Amino acid sequence: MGKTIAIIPIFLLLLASAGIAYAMWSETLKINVTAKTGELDWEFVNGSLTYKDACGLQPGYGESGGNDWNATNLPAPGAIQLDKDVGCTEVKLIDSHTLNITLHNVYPWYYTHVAFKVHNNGDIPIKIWRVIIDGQEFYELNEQVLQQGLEIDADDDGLNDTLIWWGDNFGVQLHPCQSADISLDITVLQTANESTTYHITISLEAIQWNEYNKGPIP
Amino acid sequence: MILKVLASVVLMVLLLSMFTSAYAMWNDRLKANIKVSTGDLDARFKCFKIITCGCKKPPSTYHTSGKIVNNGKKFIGEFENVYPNWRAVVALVIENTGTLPETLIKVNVRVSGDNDLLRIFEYKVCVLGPFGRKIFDSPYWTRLNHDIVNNVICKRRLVLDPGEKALVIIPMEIHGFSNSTDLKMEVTFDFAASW
Repeated sequence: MGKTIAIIPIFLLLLASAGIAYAMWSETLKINVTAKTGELDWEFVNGSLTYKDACGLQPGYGESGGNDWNATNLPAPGAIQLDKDVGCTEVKLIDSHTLNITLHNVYPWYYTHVAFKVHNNGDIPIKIWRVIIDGQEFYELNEQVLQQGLEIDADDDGLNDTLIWWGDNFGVQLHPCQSADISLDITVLQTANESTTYHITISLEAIQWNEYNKGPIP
Repeated sequence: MILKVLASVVLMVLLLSMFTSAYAMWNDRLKANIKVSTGDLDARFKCFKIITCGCKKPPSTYHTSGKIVNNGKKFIGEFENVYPNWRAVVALVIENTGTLPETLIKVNVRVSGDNDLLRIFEYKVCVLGPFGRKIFDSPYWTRLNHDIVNNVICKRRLVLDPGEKALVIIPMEIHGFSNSTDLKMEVTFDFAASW
């Protein structure tokens, strides 16, 4: 009974202090923070594709002729045009992020060159970070293997069948709406098999400019 | 036990932090799919013709036959009861049945028979072409005889585009007399992708 009597004054004191707090005038300032993130996006530029020996060209010399190109100067780059139209190159932009390159009826030393533009269609600057060719990652152009091009064993028979030279712009910064030229050379090697189809995938990766670091993620 | 739990926790924290930093770096990927389809290098004998030459009618016992075997890769000719001053021509059509140009670099002829007969047997090999579909209208094919090789320039190497044909002419003759009278001939060819 004594305990109950003691609680009542405490309760009253608390109520009184609340009354004092209510009595103190107050005003609140508010800061609303909105963080709207940008978009990192880049794409192949439609209409920027150029390539040698396009399928459907009439036989003949020059860039507009259908005669094949031969990697006569290997291991040095470049090629000379032959007197026959045997193979051909077909390049199609499937969507803004996918390019299909097909070499038809080709043979050892067949050479082609494909060039295209990439475009920063996002909101933040990007840098071309790395290229992944047939599962191998490259972060700079003059790495040892890329100096002579990259020989690929696409059918896993122990013999390299395709040579890719990558002429890329590693580390180049592209601001929104800016574009860059990229090209690659493809040569069929002597050890390629007859009547065979090889598949190679090249992935080209860009990152936000302030995270760029030459090399893999530390 | 406590140590194990502690180690697991540290590992998980480390993994989580890596995961977070990977996500923090925004990236975007473009992809180029490359498909390389190589061509086919192939050539085959398509047909043949055996002409026996000379002004006299061959003896009734004389007989020739031929066949293309090994899926067009070999010709076998048989000549029974050949006779003194016998002259004949074997003509073979080789077609580039592949999808790439190729060079016919060599025609291999192997003749078997009795040594006595082979001693007096002679042959030459002449390659003509390239021909398109009109090879069968050409005088080489329609008016084929033993003397035809005297009037043409035979080629040693010949480039055939896909679908084109070459004519191989093999004139043969026997100078003199032999007790043996049967011959067998096998013809094959070598080609290469160079052109």
